Amino acid sequence: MPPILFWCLAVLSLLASGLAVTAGRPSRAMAAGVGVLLVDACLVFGLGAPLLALEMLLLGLAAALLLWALVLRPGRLRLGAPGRLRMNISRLLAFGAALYLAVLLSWALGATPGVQPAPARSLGGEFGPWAAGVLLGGAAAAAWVVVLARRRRPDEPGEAP
Amino acid sequence: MTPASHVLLFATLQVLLGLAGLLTRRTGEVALVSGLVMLSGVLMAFCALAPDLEEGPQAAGVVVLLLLAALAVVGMAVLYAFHRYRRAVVVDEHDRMRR
Repeated sequence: MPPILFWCLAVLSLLASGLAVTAGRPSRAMAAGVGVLLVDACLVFGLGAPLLALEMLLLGLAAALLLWALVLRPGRLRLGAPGRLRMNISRLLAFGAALYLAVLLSWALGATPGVQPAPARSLGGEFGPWAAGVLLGGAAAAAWVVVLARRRRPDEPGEAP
Repeated sequence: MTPASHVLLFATLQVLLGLAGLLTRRTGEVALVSGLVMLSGVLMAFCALAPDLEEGPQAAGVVVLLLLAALAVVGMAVLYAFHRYRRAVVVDEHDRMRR
């Protein structure tokens, strides 16, 4: 990547970082944070790490989608309102996408029988993947417990929240 | 080809910006995004140091990216739980875990 292009993207990323840090409204801060992630993905791609850039791009797109659906346009999802035309179309599209991905994955698994898994020595030795899985499972379990922590009802004893 | 010193300078600026936001802002969401900006800067530093790393940037960077995603998920879950108690998330007022 030429330095001039790098610094153009870097200035854009720094501006988005400054906006994320100084934004008054949390939704704007999060939108700027997603922008930082996407611009940094372009930078990482230019620096010669396409796989990492693709992962950053996917993470950024997922964050942008969640931000749009849950924060910026919260009325669009309406998950608890079945029977609407948009809900039915979305359900069909989601089923089609899942079917397509399943067919693609099964074809890819069948077409590459000779590929051997990478040795586990690179990250954390032999137990690295297991440790990463346990950590990820622990993080998911912690998030699950925190999200399910319910508010105390008025008729329950104890200090008011 | 971009020199590694340029990338390191950019990564340092990004980490400093995130650190400033983490230390000065009181809103929980902004503090979380500041942490994500810091981790993104760390990721850029990994890319700058790629030729010096035995495994290349991708293996080391994936660890940071996983950490970034986990921070986002767990942080948002904690903030969501806080939002159920109070409308605004001001991190200075959440000392419930100490009591």
